[in-house]
Amino acid sequence: MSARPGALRWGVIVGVCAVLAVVLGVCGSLGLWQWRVGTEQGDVVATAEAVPLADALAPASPAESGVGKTVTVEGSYADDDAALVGGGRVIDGVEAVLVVRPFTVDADATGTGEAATLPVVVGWLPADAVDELGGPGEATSLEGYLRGSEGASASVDDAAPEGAYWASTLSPAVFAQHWESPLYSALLVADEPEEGLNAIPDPEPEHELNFRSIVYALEWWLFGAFFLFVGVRWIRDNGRVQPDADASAQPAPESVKEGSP
Amino acid sequence: MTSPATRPAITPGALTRYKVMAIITGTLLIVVFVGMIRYIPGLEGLKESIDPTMLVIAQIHGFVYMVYLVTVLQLWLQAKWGYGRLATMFFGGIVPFLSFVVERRISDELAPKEATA
Repeated sequence: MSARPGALRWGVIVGVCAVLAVVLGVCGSLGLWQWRVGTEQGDVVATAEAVPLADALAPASPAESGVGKTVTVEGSYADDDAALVGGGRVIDGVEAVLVVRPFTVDADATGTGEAATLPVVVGWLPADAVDELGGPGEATSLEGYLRGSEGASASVDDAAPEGAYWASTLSPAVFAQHWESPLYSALLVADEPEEGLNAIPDPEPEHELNFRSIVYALEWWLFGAFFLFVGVRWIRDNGRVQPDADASAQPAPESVKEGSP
Repeated sequence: MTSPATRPAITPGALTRYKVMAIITGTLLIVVFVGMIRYIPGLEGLKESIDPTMLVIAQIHGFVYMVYLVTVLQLWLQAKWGYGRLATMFFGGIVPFLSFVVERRISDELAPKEATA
């Protein structure tokens, strides 16, 4: 009689399984959430609502806090030459040239009461098609996100198409030699590309891994594995009705193996 | 393991590993908690000076805790303790000072048995 296993205690087993499922679900999803945070963090473009430019950035002042913000701005394109920013960029596998135009922000939209020039990335052209560059658009209101500038670079004296000049970095310091001051120190990447130009692709999400979050994810999953192990163990130990005989004198033989290293 | 053991068969290695991990985990945990003094009003100034260090220590504690749990499981399996004891050992790495108390108690409990074994 004592050799025969007792009846299964279904109520207890189902209960423990339910608790285990919840615990595993929590651990698993918390881990997954941390994993996502760790591997997909760092998108530069803010998804927040657009704010007026004056609330994000002032002319001729450092741009740290404004970069990444989505902004709207009122004004008009200036008649000055556009900047063709090459520097060996590749977009969609093609050597690309970014087109940056000076956008004169209305005096009442800068926050300083004085008109200022905002460099606007209006799109890109393949490097062998820069001659197709047209004239500035007629837009009086733009929307886009602010991106930080690149370092200044030596000016490029290559022959440029009519109404344009060459530069190799997105540097307002370089643009300032061609456009009217004051200049903003960040650039606006316009949502709508200029006619005839290609849209600037959304910035690559930074693939820099967030080490901390990944560690947390692994830890959550390890926790889950721990609870799973203990839960299975518990069901094995307690899942059956114990015979009346003193069962503790006879430890389950198969459990001995696991305990040894 | 050939004869049915009346006393749980605990290998010295498992016990030692558990003890070492309990002490390391407990110590790290106390450091982590001490690092939380910066949340006390008036001590916010410490945030910048200790946060980077504390972040690293908290992560190390996380890893060490995982290793600790493995040693706990092994010892627990060998000793055939109840689930309450397992829970206590589990929380030893989360509640400050608990791991020292549990470690002490387990050592005391096992020491005389080992001497006679």
